Amino acid sequence: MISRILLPTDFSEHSRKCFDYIIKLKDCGIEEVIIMHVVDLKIIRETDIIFDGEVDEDKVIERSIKQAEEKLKVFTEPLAENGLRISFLVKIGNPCSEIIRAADEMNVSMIVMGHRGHNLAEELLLGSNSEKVIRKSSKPVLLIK
Amino acid sequence: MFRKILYPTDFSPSAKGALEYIKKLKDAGTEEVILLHVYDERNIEVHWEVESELHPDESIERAKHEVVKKMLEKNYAKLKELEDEIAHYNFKTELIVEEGIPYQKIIEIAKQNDVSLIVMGSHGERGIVEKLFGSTTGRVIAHGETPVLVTKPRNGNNH
Repeated sequence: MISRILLPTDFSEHSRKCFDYIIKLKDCGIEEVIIMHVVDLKIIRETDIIFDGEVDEDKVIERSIKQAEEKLKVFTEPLAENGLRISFLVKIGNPCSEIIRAADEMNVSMIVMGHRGHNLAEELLLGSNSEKVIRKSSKPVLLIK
Repeated sequence: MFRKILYPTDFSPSAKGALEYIKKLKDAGTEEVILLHVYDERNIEVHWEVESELHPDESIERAKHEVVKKMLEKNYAKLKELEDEIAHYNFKTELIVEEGIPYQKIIEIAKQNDVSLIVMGSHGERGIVEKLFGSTTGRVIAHGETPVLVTKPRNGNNH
């Protein structure tokens, strides 16, 4: 059964599109929706380089996590209004790895993700995050375009 | 949102697993299921040689045509079996068998039929063509415009 869903979000419109699908899936027996945001460590490290090491990394991380937690609450209000049980998860690290790990650890039935279109250059260099998750995770993935 | 589902299958275990999810989606409002098999036209080259050895008098075109005809008939029968399997869920169903390049046909048929969602296994039968050019599922995700539910084998291995 589809009982627990993981929704990783970067707070973009793409991931907001997933809400309607999750609300529809409610009738398939969803008991819990875990909304997750990953603070990308690589980006924080880059900031550190720009400011020439003058930034206290721990403090930036701490602040990013706090901001993400607050944003998650506001962002997911439409889901809460529909009577779904929601919990939040904020992680720090590489988004793909953290999403895959969380899906396993929390034993979710499905990952629901928005899919950004990307251009050919990006595709060749990186592939999208969602494609990586699909390839590497053992969980079903519902990809919303 | 889940009203009309396109289920492309190459009859692999991976595709079979995806069918299970369609049953579950009934409660999310699925009414219609299109069962699709695309016979990979790139396999014809291999098959028609066999066919022409069995019937040496026939022309190449005739041999190729025979192969496609046989495959489409055989695969239609297989689709019918899958249709029977979901019969008691009372979906409105449609069966389509076509020849072509699988990911292109899947995207095309999804668009033509205005489907809400494509449900497919993460990896089908991997012939030499797929090893060279990537999986059908991967290409449908990358190039299509329809939401896709990618299912995984039940035992959780991700190969």
